[in-house]
Amino acid sequence: MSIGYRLREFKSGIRPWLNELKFTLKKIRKSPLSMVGTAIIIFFAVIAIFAPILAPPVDSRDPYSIFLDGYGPTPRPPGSEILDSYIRGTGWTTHYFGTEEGQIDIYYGCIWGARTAFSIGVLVVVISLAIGLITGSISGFYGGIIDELLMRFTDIILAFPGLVFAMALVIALPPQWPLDLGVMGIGIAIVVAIGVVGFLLKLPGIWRFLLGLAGVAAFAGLFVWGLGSPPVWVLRLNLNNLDKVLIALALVGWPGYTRVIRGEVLRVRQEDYVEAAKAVGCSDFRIILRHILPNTIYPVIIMASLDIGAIVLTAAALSFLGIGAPVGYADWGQMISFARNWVWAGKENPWQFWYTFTIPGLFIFLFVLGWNLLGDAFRDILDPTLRRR
Amino acid sequence: MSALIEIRKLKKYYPVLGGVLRRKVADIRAVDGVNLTIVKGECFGLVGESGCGKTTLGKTVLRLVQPTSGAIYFNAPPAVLEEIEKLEKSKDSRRLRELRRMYDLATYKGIKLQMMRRKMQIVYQDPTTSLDPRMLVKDIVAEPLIVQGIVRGQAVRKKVVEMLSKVGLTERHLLRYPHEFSGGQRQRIAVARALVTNPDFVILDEPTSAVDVSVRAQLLNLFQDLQKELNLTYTFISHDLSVVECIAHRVAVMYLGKIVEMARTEDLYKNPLHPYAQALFSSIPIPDPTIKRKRIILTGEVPSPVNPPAGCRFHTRCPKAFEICHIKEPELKDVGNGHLVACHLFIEPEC
Amino acid sequence: MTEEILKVSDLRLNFYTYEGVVQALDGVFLNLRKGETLGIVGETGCGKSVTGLSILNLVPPPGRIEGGQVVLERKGREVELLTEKEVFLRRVRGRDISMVFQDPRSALDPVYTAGDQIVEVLLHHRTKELIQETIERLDKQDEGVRKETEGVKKIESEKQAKSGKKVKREKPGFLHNFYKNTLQALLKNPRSLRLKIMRRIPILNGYRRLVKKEAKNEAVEILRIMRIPDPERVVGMYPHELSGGMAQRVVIAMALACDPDILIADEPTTNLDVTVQLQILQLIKELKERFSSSIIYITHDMGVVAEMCDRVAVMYAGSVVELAEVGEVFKEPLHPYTRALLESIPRPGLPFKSIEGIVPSLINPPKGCRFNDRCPYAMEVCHTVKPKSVEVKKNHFVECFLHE
Repeated sequence: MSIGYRLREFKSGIRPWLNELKFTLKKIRKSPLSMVGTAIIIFFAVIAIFAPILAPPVDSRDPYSIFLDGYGPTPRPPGSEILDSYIRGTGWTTHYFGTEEGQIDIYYGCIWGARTAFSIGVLVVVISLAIGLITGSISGFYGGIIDELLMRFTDIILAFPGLVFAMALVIALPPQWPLDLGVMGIGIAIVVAIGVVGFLLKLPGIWRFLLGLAGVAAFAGLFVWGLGSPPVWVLRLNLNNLDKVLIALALVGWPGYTRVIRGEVLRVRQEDYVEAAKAVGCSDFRIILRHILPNTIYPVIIMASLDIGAIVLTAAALSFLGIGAPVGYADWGQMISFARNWVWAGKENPWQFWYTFTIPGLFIFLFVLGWNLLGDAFRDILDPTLRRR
Repeated sequence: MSALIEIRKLKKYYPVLGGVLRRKVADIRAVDGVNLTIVKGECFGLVGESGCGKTTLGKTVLRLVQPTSGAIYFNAPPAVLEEIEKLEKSKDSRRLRELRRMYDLATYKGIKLQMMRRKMQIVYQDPTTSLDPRMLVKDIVAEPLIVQGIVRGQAVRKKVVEMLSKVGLTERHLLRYPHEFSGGQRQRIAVARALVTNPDFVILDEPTSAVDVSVRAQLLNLFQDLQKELNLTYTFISHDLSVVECIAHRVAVMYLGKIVEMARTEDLYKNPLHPYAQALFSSIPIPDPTIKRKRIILTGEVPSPVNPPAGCRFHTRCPKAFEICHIKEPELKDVGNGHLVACHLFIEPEC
Repeated sequence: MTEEILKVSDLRLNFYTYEGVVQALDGVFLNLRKGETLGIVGETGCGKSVTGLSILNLVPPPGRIEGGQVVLERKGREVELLTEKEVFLRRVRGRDISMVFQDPRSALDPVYTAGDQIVEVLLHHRTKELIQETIERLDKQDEGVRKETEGVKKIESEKQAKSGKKVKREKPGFLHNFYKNTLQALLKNPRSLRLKIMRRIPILNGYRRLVKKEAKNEAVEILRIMRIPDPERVVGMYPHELSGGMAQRVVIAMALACDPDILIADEPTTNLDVTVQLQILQLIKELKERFSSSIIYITHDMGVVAEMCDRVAVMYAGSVVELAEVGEVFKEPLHPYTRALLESIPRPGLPFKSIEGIVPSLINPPKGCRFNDRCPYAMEVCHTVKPKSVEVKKNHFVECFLHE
């Protein structure tokens, strides 16, 4: 097979995606709101990527901790000089956006906060999406009692109030969580056993016997290993509060995706090409992966983009409440929490400390707005009934 | 002429769930006891209106739909079939079970079922929905080969190109998506996909209904050529009687899950015996304004397959029904020359 | 010489899609005579459905009519439909020209019963007649009541004469009279403010209920004409409870409810079983006689054309390539496409003949005659100039240079 053929194959493989992209871009250009949304997100992406250049970290080991210029409680307005000599030494001269209470530099916090926002949003959504895809497609494809059980489980998760769960996890999980692999070993053994049993039920005769034997042996081994695990097999996870919030939000965020995917899978499942794939002898896994998922994923992409904004907003709210980013971490919500006492500064000149909450608030606002507009734009663009106008 | 497929008492019922606890209330009798023989190398036509069960029958034979009861013997030599008949009467269950496990498709499971899928394939009615819109043509046609593990690597591409050229497409078409083709071409891609594993038996489920008249002729030519070249056996399911007349060697007419008449094409079309078949054939619009034919117009609509009428299923609409038609169901009887009818008009009353 | 009731001249239609401008109709010439069935036949993409829709200006965006004329003979005057405003067209649609579509299930609204949908059509177009009929019915009721009371009065007065008391006059109920007065006012001045306000007030607007009831009775009658068994029951059924044939009959009932002069039927039997198709075709024939309409029958099935139509127009890639009497077209097709189409119909025992090539893309249509790349008789001129419609024989129009 020649290189030329491989190249052409690759090009035609991505051709529909390119065409879709071209069409999408054209549509974005036509709608002013989508242009605004895209521009905002690109703006934030640039800030996040170039954060080390735009706001060179003072403490290179922990760039996310905002530098403190002294310990004075009063916030200082934008344009104030940096007083600390060490910080001046690294090249900083002014507080471009001023400081918060405790002399936390707002400019630095906002720039690196962009990175935080992206990482929270994207990570949570990716994890939720993964869980949602798996549960939704299995539920929709198999139907029957599997569907019922999965959907009830999803309902239970939906009933969890996300914020409260996040708070609970923040308190409950220790800052250093030792994952005992021994316990995990038992868990893995159980899962493997279930998988093997399920697989066995589909194979004939002698294979069944041999695999059964292998499965039992594996199970026994893992179990023994789990019980008698030496202390060496312990993984220590460092979780700061923000990570816990992340876990919490990911764990309660997936039911929405599950339902959407399930609906789409139910629709696609009865299409002829799925039955044709079955007639050809495709395994269920292959059908789901190669036929059903690519055809059902569009609505979920829209949901995901809308969700990113929502997740960042939730995380900001939690940080504002104090449950979330550790003190001094570059996070927009946290920065607003420091402005709590300075919103209204007395009868004379009450808004003199406007910059403490307005500027981080503006960043949050624009970020979430950008994703919402983008999500709306995606929906209008990808909606097949409205597409070809 | 050996029988490729021998269908015995095939039934497919869909349960109707009702009530608070969703228990089975009734059955939709989509296929209700069909006996059929499909001869190797022939094109067997299956006609009927919507709801008669012809598509369900086809899909059940292919095990895309699980049969409720009955047997589908694939490639069983006549001696074995005779033995099975005898065994069924004498109830020697162990030998019967053994033979069934060997030849009866309805009992196949797992790897056996997988291997059987190579030999039997289906071409669907609407090529727009039967091809995955997000797969390249080369992947669509190659998928059966990969899934069945017949060839690997470079040989896959060779086989795909070979198959496409057989249906009249070229290498240029490999790297394109289905929506870039016309309806007729898409149907040809579907045919290529069905034939790539060298099956013996292909079910054509209304393959020409979704394409234009001018393209229909192309597809029919293609089917005939491929049948000769690759020694295929077809079952051509359609509600378009004029197309079936042109391509099928033998035709069976279905009504409400049962076969009411079956004969060689010329015999059936020239001389339909069953009243339903007569009405059906008389209703085909003829593209010639000078021919004025007597039309038999049936009253009423097709009854629901949930509660088929007692006795002969057609008696509620039959212009020639008499008393026994309400009570007893007629069996398929050979009235000469391989022409079978299920109608009391042709069954000698037992005095 | 039967008069023409509809004339389509040089109709042009474009679709402005993302992929480009689809030149769907490229100068369509048609005429429909009073009392005849004109068939429009062609394959997928030839523009036959769109032609039917453009007559009523129902082509959805991104389609836009670029030119041409559609002249309708209405109440003795000629009306140019393409230049008229929506308000006027709404009076035409359903009343003078009705349309029946291919899929009865999507033509019927699934949340309303069959009866409701027919009533909707009746209420929209035949309001005045319905109101008059309602008033008449109320009058009859009054008569009945009066006769009754007179009878009672006679007895009473006899009694009274014996006992010497006064007789109470029986009058029909207050609401009854009120409704009757409202309806008469409605007839005289449908737009009065008083009525507009009263329409919204719950008990006072009961007169509308009466008119609706009248319309429902009318609907039952229409269903009976459609040969639907047990129409009283069917009137209350939802579309999903109806079989394909029945649903199509309800759609036809809706179309014919207001006795239109022209019925445009867009492949009404394509989705139906062949025995049901026969029933519907017979029904349409009968109804044509009874309602004396003219029919434009759009289809791709030459058999149905032979069965139903008096004249037929063969369309290819946006224009009418041949227009003649049905017998002529089948016996002696003049246009190469018509000939090829007839030859490609599969016949038992004969080899299958198809038409070479595929339908050209309408985004970049070929110059000249659009059939030029598939035509076995194509000449030089066919690739440069589009042929005009020529009356080769009496009433037999062809667009082909072979016959110019």
